[in-house]
Amino acid sequence: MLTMAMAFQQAQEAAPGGFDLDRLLAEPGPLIRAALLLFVGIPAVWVLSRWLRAHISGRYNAQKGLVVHKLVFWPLALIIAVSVLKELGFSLAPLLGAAGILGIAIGFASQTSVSNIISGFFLLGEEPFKVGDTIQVGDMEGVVLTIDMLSVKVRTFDNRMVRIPNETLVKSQFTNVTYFPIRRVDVPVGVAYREDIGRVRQILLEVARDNPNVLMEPEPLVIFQGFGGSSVDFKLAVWVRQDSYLLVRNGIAEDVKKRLDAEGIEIPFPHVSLYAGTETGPLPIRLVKEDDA
Amino acid sequence: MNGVPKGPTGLWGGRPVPAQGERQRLDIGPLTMWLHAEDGELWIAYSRSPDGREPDRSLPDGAPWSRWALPEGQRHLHLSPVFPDRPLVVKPEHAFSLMRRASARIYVRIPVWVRVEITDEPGGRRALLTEIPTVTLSETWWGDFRDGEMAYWLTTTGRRKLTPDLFDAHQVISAVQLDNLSEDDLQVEKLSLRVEHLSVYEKDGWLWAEEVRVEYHGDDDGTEIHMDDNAPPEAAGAREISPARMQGRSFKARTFARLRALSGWGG
Repeated sequence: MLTMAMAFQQAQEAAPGGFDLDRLLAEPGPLIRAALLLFVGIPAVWVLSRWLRAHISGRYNAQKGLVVHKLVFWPLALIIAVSVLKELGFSLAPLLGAAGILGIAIGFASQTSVSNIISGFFLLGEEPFKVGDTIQVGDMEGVVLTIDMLSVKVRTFDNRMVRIPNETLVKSQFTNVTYFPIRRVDVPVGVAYREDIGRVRQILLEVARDNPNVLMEPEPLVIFQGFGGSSVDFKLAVWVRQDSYLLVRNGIAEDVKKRLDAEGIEIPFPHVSLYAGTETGPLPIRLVKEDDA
Repeated sequence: MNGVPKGPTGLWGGRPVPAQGERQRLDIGPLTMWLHAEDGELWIAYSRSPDGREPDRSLPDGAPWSRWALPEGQRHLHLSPVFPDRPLVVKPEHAFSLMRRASARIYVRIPVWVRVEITDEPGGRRALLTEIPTVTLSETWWGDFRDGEMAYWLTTTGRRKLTPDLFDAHQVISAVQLDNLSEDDLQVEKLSLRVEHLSVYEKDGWLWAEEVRVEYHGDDDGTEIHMDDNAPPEAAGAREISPARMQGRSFKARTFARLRALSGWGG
């Protein structure tokens, strides 16, 4: 702060004529220009940047609009501020020099914050997600509430707020679950070995077709997964709209179970064989009276 | 059209709000609607019969009623048939190849939605209450995974001939003229109809849409679609009863199914 105060004093002295309130009041031309710059220029820049934001938001999206707004407003506002100081008779060289020294000091102290701010611009520019999207970061999943300068705020599905620094999102892998309008729901299904695989496949496709929330295209698929320990395993893959995902994920498993039950197709559970130790002999059983037990 | 009897009349247009305590029933194809008025409110309930089954016109137990408290003086309803709010994907009766420089005409039946509006006087400014599909259409994705759109899937097929069995109270007949102006043959397996741009016309109780001309120039993204301003010649003299949802009589849009199908399987 001492450096800035000294620089401010130097700025007053170094300018030709320097900052002189009496002179400005006697010859108010520079003062009027400075006032005009301040009271007309700043609102004009604000209006311009807001107009650009609305235009870009309408044409592209809100995030691009926000980036353009900030990129236009702050540099122009800085130029106006510098011009106002110059009109008032300040020399900017000492101020800028001091600001540079101060900037380096602040920069060392706030590396993380600066990194987050720059990362925030990358996120807004690259747009891997937008407000309202559902993202997965590590084992956390939630809906993006805001994309701020330093962090992204996410609301988890159990209604907690998670703050993720922008730098973390730029450096690490995350998944945007709702990036595309449609999504696939996979339902694992196992049936007994004695069942007719072709019939099972047909029934599963019918179940998918009968569900009004399942999209006709991309077509539902039944994928053979393998011969499992207790069952022949399939995967029923259906496509749904993002907003129907949970509805279908829950509903179609119920539909499959009901339909397979109705068709008499067994969904086996894991079978466990007990081995008593004798290679081929049956499991020995000893009957005891209740009194002896 | 020879051999086609007249369709139902009096379904569409204005009608007074039911009297206090009165219940009216409207049968529109598989859709049954009930209108009821009570304590200054309008109540509407509906049910649909499953595909191909004879509709059960009795009010189901526990039918969910939608209720509107009506403004003073709003005593007239207006019912109109409108097209669904998204494009429709249609399969021709049999996939066919449209040779280069050839044309084909197909007829597509499209189930309407019933738009219910309220107004203070017949012909007055109308306020929308609800829209009820006469048939629940399945949804589908049209396009590829990166660049596509939601659409409805039409289970009825497009026909090459206009026959009496095509006419139904709740379906609009749309004549689609396909012109292959390219130097390649065009395999027509499925096509997307931009029904949001179509108006509904009525003649002899049957519903029609203006003729749609689809001009294929070789690149599907550049397929040109033109809508006429009148009903097709098959329904000459029909009057417009519902305007299109969206403006635009000529535009480019992806219309034909891509040759590479969406497998939807990536592991």
